[in-house]
Amino acid sequence: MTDSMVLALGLLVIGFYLIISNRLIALLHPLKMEFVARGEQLLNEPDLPADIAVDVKHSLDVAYSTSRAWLFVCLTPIAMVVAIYHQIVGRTDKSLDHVPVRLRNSVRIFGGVSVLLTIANSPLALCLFFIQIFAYAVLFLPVGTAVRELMRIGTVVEYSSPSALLHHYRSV
Amino acid sequence: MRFKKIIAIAWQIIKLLWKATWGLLGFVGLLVTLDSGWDGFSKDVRHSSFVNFLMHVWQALIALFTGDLIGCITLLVSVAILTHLLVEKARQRSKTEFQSQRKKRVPKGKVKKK
Repeated sequence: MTDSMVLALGLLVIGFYLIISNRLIALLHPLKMEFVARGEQLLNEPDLPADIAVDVKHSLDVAYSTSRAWLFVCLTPIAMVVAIYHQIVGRTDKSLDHVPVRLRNSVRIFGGVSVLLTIANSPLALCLFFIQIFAYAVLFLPVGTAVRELMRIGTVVEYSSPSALLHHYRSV
Repeated sequence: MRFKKIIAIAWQIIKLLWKATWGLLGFVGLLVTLDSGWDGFSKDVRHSSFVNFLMHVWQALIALFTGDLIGCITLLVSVAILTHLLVEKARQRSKTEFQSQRKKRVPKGKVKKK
């Protein structure tokens, strides 16, 4: 491959990525506005448990984080392994049992949308995520459970990251 | 406790170094590209005729950016950084609106004072 071909191909890829990124930001902007509205609505619910409120607030705080997008993409295989393990041992998801029934569905939807919107902060991360999900779906693996596990594992990793520790020390 | 604090500060330093590396790479990339491509550019223009002037301009542009493979790659890195900055600007605009939307909302039960 000649230098000019490398240059042309590189510029083409970069240009394409720029267009996709810009279109994605424009496309997701109204969805993010809706997301913040739903999040604030949940936070204003008096019955919402404190731990869920913290998670919702954190999701809103990091809605534009690209590093979180890559974290989710990297954790997807682990979440899938955990989901398969839970399915084998027959363990059901009890993380939302303490949430009032009328709010449970909203919290679940909010969590799923949060994962998707966060991953969409990086087009490449989104692409890799969907390739993984597609591969798992083809193999009839529990994708829905894996996404729920992904939220849980992602939050645990984030709360124990150096960045979170720094934030904690600043706030103390 | 102290160990955790040290990790947190180290993380902040790594983040700063990461940003500085990108900035430096972009700057050096542009310099190297212009330097290595300049010879090819001047040579092509020297041999160009008026009739196929446009053709030679195109060739000269290619030569300018492909003086060698390193120049080509560094140019690509520079363009990638500029692209990243452009996308980041659009994202910041969206983020500002997102944050203002969050601040605008009044919590339930609290009444705005007139």
